[in-house]
Amino acid sequence: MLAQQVVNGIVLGSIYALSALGFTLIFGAARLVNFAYGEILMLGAFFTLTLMSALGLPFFAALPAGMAATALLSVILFYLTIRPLTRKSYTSLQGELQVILVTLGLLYVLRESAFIIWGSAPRKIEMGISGIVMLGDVVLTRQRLVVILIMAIMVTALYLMLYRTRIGKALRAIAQNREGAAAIGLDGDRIIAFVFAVSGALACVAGSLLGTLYAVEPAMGGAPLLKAFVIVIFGGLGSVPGAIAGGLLLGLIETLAGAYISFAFKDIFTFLLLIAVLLLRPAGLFGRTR
Amino acid sequence: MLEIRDLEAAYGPIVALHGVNLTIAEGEAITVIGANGAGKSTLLKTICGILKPRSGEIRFEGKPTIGLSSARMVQSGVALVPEGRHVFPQLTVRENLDLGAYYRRDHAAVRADLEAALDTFPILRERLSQPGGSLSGGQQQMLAIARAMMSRPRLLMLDEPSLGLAPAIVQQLGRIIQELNRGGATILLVEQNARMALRLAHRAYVLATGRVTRTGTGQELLDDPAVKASYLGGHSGT
Repeated sequence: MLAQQVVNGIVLGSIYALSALGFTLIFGAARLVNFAYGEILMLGAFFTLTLMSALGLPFFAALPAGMAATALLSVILFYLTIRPLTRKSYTSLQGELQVILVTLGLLYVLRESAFIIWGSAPRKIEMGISGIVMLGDVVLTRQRLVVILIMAIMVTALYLMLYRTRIGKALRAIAQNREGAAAIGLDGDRIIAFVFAVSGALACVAGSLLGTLYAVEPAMGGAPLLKAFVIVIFGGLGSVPGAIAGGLLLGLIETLAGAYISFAFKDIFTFLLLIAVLLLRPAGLFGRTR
Repeated sequence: MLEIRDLEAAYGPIVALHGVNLTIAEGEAITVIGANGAGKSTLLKTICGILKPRSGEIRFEGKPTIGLSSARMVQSGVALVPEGRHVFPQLTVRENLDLGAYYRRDHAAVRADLEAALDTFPILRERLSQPGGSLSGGQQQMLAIARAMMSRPRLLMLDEPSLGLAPAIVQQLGRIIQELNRGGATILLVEQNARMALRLAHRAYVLATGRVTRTGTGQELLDDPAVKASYLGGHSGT
């Protein structure tokens, strides 16, 4: 029973980790809190769903195409709404407040647009994979195994990008010291736009996977945004390993609390733990005080 | 090489530069001295595109540069060593240096410049694979200068490089800045440590509350009684 719940928690946690990664990357590189992130995730799920239903693509072909489309949308939204505000400077308080307001506004515009285009009926994404795997006593559907695999692939790809490529090195530099990065010209819009693209692609994967386990609907972005917030505060703002560990931990806590304590109150334990982290380690588990 | 006319810059309602005029010829080493809050850092950040001025004109090698991003300024040959060094603490010394050359495509020349930088700062060669944050303050300052040099700037701007460093290290830095200048880099050095800065400068400007109040050769300002009283008196400097 316990082992079963732990496995379920890891599956859920994998999706949380993916959604938190896209959120934390933008914070790390641009010091922007993107309130529209949950809606990007929702639109990513709809893109994958639509590619499957309209073009008859299988899930594993629709997902990469959906990622590309979501990445593009994310970049367009950056240039259209955020860049005009940060043009003067990425660092002024006034600019930060404006960005928060704009992304909040974007949240509603995107959600209502999805409503108009796709309607409110929840729809499921069919991965097209059936059957189960037995690990001792633990029952795992193949579909859930694929969720964990996709998370592992995306995390590996992200690490290769951050540690093996030129632009990845620049991203880490910006996240570590903005002023140092500005002094050598690394605060260019292209680098920030690239982060928005990566973030959009990750959001699409997270949204699509949520759609295979639960459902795709215009209102689905709210909970992942809130959880991305919790995870990112948990793991340390802007920290990549923090987002992964925090996501898995949150998935485990929710699943175990839901199974053993009370399903209805499972979210309470998440926030209790968040409060504890903030009291005891305000910079987060992997964060450094700045 | 660099011409600044009537430059005004402000942070919201707070005006930091009130019409600054300044010129630098190719090959010169120019110093701007002034107290805390005089606008020295603002001047450098405005030149390199991090801050947008309110009005005025900046020309680098004849071309107007206001409105260009810091990325474009680095590519056109202006590099900044920021106040407080700002090395990337978790990146290795090597990665810090590589990022200085981020926009360069001439890979063979970058390798040669890396060797040259490591010859200038032998301590960095020893620490090449250590994280930047593990270096001492003086070593971090050298890393910040070497990182800026990796973009092969024609104008190198240094913001308070002596801040918080021991006198012996400050002297060493002064020699290195002079060497870089003799090697062909035009230097714009901003300092509170006026004595060191004025000694190595061809010409100097005194900046007070956002205005240029005096200008002359380094030696003239060293001998100027008003400069002596305000900027050289009391502390012995180096």
